[in-house]
Amino acid sequence: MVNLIFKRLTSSLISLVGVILISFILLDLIPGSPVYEIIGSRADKDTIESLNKKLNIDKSLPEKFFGYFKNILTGNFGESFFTNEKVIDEILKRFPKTFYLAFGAMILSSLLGIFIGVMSAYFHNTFIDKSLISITLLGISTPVFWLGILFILLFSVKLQILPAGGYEDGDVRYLILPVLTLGIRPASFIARLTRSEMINVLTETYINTAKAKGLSVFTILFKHALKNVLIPVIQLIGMDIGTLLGGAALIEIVFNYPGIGYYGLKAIAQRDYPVILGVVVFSAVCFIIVNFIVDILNGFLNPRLKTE
Amino acid sequence: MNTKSFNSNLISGLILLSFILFLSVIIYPLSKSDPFTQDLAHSLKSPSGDFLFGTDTLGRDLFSRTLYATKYSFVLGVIITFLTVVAGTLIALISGYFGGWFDEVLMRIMDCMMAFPFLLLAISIASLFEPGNFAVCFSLIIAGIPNVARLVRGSVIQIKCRDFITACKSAGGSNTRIIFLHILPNMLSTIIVVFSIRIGSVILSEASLSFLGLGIQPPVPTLGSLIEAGSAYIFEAPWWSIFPGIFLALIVFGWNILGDALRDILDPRLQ
Repeated sequence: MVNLIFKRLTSSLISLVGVILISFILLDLIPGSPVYEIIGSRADKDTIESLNKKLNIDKSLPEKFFGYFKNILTGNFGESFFTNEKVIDEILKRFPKTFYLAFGAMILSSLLGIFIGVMSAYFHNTFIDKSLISITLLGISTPVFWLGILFILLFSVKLQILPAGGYEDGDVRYLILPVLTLGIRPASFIARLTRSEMINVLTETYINTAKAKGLSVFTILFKHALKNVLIPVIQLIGMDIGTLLGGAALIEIVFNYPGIGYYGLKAIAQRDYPVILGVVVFSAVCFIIVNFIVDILNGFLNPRLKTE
Repeated sequence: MNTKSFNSNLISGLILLSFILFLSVIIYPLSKSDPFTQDLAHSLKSPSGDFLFGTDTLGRDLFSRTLYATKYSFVLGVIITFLTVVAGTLIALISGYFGGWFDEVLMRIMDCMMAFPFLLLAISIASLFEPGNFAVCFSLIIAGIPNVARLVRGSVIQIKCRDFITACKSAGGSNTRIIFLHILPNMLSTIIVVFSIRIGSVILSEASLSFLGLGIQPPVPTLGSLIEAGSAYIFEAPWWSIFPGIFLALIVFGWNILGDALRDILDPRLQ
């Protein structure tokens, strides 16, 4: 087990260094000097020089990289070009909101996806299975931002039961539509994986034994079979965090939801690079951490991995 | 599932995609309306016999704009996916065939790129360029390569160990010859499957980037930008967003059915 944790920790750390390196390359690739983005091209010499110094632009490449590396490790993503606020402060302020959104969607998609997958496998090759599998394919094919708009149209404009967007602390109603929209795509992926794994498990002999013992269908499906399906499914749920973070950004735009993604995407229009990169690097770090946790969790669930 | 239902999936996918292509390639030029002509007298008209999908604020016909954008998304999706698969396959061939430290380093780089959420990586790359086709294509290709390279590399390594490759080597075949004449043809089914299961999500991502305003700029319509423009008029003109969204979902749905069917037929191991 210690071995497994150590192995995963090393690969996570390598990924982390890689993420910082790639984001640095991206930052360095920006055409033109960011100085002109901030003050326009008609600024006087002194202002340009002082900004050059502040942004480390006049230093050599390795110096710049190690400066950047140190900054990111200490959580310093720089300041917004336009508001001069510290990017990390803004991100941390907005993080809980995006977290509620992603976490809610993860819970919803896991429950819904596993349930649909199990049902679909139980009714394998019947009309129910085929309809469920088509619905999940539709769930994968529908663009989330469009789905969000449809939900607003239905629940806020026509039925007028839920707010069309925005956020207020402590009011769950603002979360319902974004979470629902965000959860549908991952739920479909989870349902499809659960189904295919479940179909295999249901042909195993111990399922026959359980049936012969006269156990109820519910006990067989959700106690005996599901246990053996969960390992790949949990792995997929971990991988879906990436989809959720990307999707969350789009959803936040549709619902005017003031999370991290909204902050980052609004910065694109202004070419506010510290903000864009801060948001992307922060998301990648979250993604790496979640995957690390999922790997370790899987180690606990799967005795074969533990001894590896 | 039996072979019969594979084929029925394959056929329904093909029918759906041909129907969409038929609408956007054959029907679109026949319709008398032009996607760019403004007609302020008819702005924000709801769907009717004259304007099947209604009109936008400038009175442009949304039926022809949607079909134009559909063709656009379709072609862009094919080009992006094709180039991603070509680049990813080349990396996989070289890295998987030669192995060693080169393979190790290359795959580590791919892993690091995969540590970024796909869409966010694509967005940040695209934001470095002027909004337009180049930004969209370049960012989606770069962000997509690691995934393709990982998938294809597995099958390169598998084929590399087969007897006929050893035989070819001992007969004095050069590396280039072995890679392109012996390994590549044996991987074609994997490559086709990777292409067809990717393209749906590529089209969705392309639409997402246009939705965010990183794609080609107005007046050229794309499905993503049409949905975005319509979302501001969701109360007055819901049709503006709804129809392009339906077309987008249908293209992606068609490709996904086709991709699933092809995978089940050609390469069931790739999940």
